[in-house]
Amino acid sequence: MSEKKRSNISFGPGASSLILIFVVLSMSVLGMLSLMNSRNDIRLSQRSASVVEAVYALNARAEESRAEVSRILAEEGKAAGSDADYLSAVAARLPEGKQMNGRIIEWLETDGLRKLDCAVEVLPLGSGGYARWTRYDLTSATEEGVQP
Amino acid sequence: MKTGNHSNALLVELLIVVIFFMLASTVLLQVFTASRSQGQKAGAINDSLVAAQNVADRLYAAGNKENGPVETLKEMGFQADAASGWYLENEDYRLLVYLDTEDRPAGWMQKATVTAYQGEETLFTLPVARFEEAQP
Repeated sequence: MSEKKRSNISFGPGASSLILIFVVLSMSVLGMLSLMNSRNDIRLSQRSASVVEAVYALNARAEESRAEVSRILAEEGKAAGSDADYLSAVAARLPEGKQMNGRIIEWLETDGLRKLDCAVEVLPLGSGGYARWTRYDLTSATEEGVQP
Repeated sequence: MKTGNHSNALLVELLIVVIFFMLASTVLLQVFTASRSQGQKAGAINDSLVAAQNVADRLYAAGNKENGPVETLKEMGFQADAASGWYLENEDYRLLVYLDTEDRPAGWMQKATVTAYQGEETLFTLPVARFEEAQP
């Protein structure tokens, strides 16, 4: 009885090779999937980091432009007699890329892929300040249908 | 005699299987290790990006206060570095902040750079700038 049972669970040649092939193939597929997944994760993380870097760099450039506008306002504010003279003198001295519309000075900061639409309001002479931010809108290229 | 040959063939096959399995597992172990380290790096970039944005935004908000940026960094647990920077150590990444103030004709520019590192590798750098007008 016991001999009959032993013959039923015999481990013939070739079985171990088949098990090995199955295990190695399964592990290879799992390994490749895992590697592809982590590579995609790291690519996505690096891309989001570069987008955030670019947005902060654009903001920093906008602050530099704001400092330049305030310098012009400060210099013209000392020389101007009236508010109208002040505004016209400032409009004449604005560098290329900056437009004056009433009391609003507008310009666009861009790095090719995204745009930062900036505007400051020129404060009246003797009001205790030069300008204040009125607009600070970021538009990314993907919003305009451009593939970055 | 026949049974002996059969057992020998099985033993040789098992030996070959074990050797091949060891070779395959060596290669597969490297694949899994690489995958794990890349996953850890992706996690470190994501975590440090959130932390660095938080630091950058708080520094921007603190730009107009007397000694504001330094107090903000101390509040967030940063420690002064020998090279006049500020650093925050984390399990997976390290944040390094450099502060700078420039005098401008109409005020001053408060600048900072927030850099994230993993080991010796630089992950990214966020520049922060805030212009503050002086009273006319």
